[in-house]
Amino acid sequence: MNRWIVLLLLAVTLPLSAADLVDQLSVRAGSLQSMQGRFSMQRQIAVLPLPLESKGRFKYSKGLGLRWETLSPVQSLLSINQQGVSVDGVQRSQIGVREFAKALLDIFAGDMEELADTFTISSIGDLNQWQLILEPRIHEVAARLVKISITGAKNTESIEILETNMDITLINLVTESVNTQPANSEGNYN
Amino acid sequence: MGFPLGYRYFSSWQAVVIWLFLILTSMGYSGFKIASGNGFNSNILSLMPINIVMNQSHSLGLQEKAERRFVILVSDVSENMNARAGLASATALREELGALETVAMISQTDNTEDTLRSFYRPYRYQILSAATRDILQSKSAQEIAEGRLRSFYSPIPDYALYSFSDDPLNVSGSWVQSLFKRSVAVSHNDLPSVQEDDVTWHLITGELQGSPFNLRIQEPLVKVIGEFEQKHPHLRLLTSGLVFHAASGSKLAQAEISTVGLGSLLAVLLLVLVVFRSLRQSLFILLVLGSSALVALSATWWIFGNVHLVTVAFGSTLLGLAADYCFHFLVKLNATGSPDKAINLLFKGLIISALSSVTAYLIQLFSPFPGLQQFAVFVASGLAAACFTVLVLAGQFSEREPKPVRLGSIYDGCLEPLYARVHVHSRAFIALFMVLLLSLVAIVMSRGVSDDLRLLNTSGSELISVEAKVSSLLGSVESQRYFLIEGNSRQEVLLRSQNVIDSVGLHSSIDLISVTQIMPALEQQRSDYVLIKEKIFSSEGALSILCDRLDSDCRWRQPIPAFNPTLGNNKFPTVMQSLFPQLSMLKDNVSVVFFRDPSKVDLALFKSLQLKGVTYIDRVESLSNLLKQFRNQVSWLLAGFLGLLLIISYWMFSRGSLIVMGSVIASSVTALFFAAPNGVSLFHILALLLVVGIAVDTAVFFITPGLDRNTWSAATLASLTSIIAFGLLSMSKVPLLNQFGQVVAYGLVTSWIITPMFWFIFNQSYKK
Repeated sequence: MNRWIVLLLLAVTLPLSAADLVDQLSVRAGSLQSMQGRFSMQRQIAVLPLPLESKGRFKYSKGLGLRWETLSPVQSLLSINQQGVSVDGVQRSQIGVREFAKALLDIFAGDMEELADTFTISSIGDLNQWQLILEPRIHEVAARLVKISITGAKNTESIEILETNMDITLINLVTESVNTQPANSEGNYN
Repeated sequence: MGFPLGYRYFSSWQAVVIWLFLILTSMGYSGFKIASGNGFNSNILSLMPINIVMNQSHSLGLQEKAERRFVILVSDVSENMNARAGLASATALREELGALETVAMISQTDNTEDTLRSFYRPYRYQILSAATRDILQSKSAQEIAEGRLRSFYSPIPDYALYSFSDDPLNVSGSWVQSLFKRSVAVSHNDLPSVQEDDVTWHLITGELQGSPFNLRIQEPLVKVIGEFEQKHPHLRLLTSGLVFHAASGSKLAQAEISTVGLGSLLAVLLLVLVVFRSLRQSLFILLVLGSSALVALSATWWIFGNVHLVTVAFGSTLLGLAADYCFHFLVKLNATGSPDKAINLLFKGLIISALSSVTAYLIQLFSPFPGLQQFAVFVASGLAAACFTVLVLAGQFSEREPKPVRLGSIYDGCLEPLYARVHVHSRAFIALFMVLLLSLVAIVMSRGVSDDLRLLNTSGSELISVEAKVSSLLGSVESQRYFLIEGNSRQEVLLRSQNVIDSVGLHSSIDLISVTQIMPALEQQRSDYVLIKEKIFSSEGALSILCDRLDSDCRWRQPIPAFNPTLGNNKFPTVMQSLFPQLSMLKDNVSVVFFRDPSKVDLALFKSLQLKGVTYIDRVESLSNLLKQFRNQVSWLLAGFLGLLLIISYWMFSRGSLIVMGSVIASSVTALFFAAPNGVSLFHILALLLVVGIAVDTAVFFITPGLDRNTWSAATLASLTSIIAFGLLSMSKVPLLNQFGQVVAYGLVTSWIITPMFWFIFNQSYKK
């Protein structure tokens, strides 16, 4: 009998815990003002035997958006903000790009509410070691993405993107500095 | 002069039998038409002569495609603007509408991409967007390969229709982008949505299973939307589609039938009760009005098959006009105490008056507007029936003590002495009248003319502004202006369409929509195929360079397949036909190029394009020109009518013709002065025909039997009821009805005031 009670309690508390984790991550990200660091990206294109590797720097700021600068093997600058997406200063408005870029910006901002408009979010772990899995709800995004897995601890550490054509992109992030609001909020990066 | 039928004939039993037969037949026929359920029509377009203009679009099948579609945009406009709550409500509304038998909802979540992917696969190496063509033509293979390579290192991959191995340089991705190029991005969730600043509009699209003018089709849809709006006051709904204009037109017509019809009827009954104080005489008027309306409806049904609701609204003024004959008779009856004497005195006037009015209305049969033709038949037949009924029923009254109506004392006490002064100073009056008349003519002429298309609007301004907002949110095409492309073959039409896009694109950034964007001409496909083969697939092409840069042997690489000339030979998938309406516009020898943003239209450029087989169509301009042409025609008709009137009235009344013409001219000019502040339109001129008819009526009754307290009383009552009827019509929200109402109301007031003055000046008997 006791075993059934435990199972029942687990069944009730587990989904709550998952929702709580997303909420807690959202609260923690709420205090984030800016962050910057390095990234390495591996892109595995289905028909190519070796992954394409690139490296560079990123900078996220709450007001200015995301600046993604690839330094090698090619140099390019991707900017995502409220005004839209630009690559090397040229605006891009292709199908699905707006939704894709917004998702990336929301991931850096930790804006779970916005992400929930586009994705179904499931989570594993706790605030010290967590994983979020985003599965698209919007037709334009679902046509291109199967899912996005995000893992992290204090900060976001990796983003894995699985596309519908089976191309996989793995981005590892090394956060060098984080600025948050004065510590009056509950969850804090520091 | 004599008449072929004397007044006594109308009191004979034969006349009564004919009248009864007419009324009973009309009653039976009207009952049959009403019971059949298709006696009334609310199709506003059927009132307009735009078929001439729309012939071309009809032949392309544009009209029937478009007229059944409707769009509803739903948004949460409450303080917190909850997009998710808006979505849930929009989904609920979609489900409610989907449950209607008369509506089919159009699914926006079909997998369009899969359809495009499989449809274009055989042609993927022979179709290019203008942007990619430009890149392939202007850049080296090295630069093209480098560009593609850079895209691989972006965290946001380029949109691609096919996998890397199927389209390594992603030319199809750019092609598909160009197909969906639009000013507004529509994103798909459970329902598609459009973003406008902070507001998210959820899009519901549907198609009616019948004509939008069919009340049984339009009413359930409008009811569901109305109830939904009431239940969800925090939501804002924007609607677009002919069905909403049709529903609004029906509602407007029904409201105006009630206003004008009931208003006229009440005014007539009130006047009768106040002036005549007799139930029998009130019943007499009701019988005349009822017979008149019954015959009017039957005649219109018999000639046109159905009666438009706007005709009934407009025709409600008939009640005011038909009552005129009753008033003349009843006033004389009360004055003389003898129906025989009364009708003897009035007979000539009644016949001339009815004939002139019926002629004035029937002239409108020459008008190009089916609505006005219906109206002409409705009122002319109604007036003829009213006159006949008065003559027949007059004999049914018995002799009585003479008891003139009290209204005449106003004439005796105040007006006759006043008008007598006019007679004394007739020269001064005529001089003053001429100066005033010429001044008014000069003012009216200085205002010019108006052929504004908005006169044809039958939808309220709010509906039109909502329609414009939906159009701007969805980036809808401009359907009033386009290029018509003609050629000897489908390929020639496609090439000429491409010429338009290229030529306009050189000078303007306007977003053009052509079938060539879905199916380029074969010549273009061949040229693109050669370009792709050379720049991408040749041994020094971009693909080889890309493989080197990726350190790959690209063993999956396939040689470019042979050119495939079959694009467009088979039917396009349904999803594509629905997404790209331009496909339905392509016939073997004709097509259309539309544009999206009317604000970017460069009229001078469009009109100056001298391309073979290409004609710029401006339906707004065509329709304005049509109105102008009709206005000129009707103006000449009016001039001819006035000329004829002068001859006939001189032949009948010699010097008395001055009374008729003076009254007609003064009433017409004054009516235009007051009712046409922004220029004279076709509808002002058409209404003048009625003013002429009514002014002639008044003048004729003054000439025969002659102006006295009784004739004046009858003319006053007659004018008053008609002024009320047309005054109510002048409050119509439909511009053309409004103009009609105003012109006739001002004309009537003028004729009522001025005709006695002319009578006093020009009538020989008064001089004696």
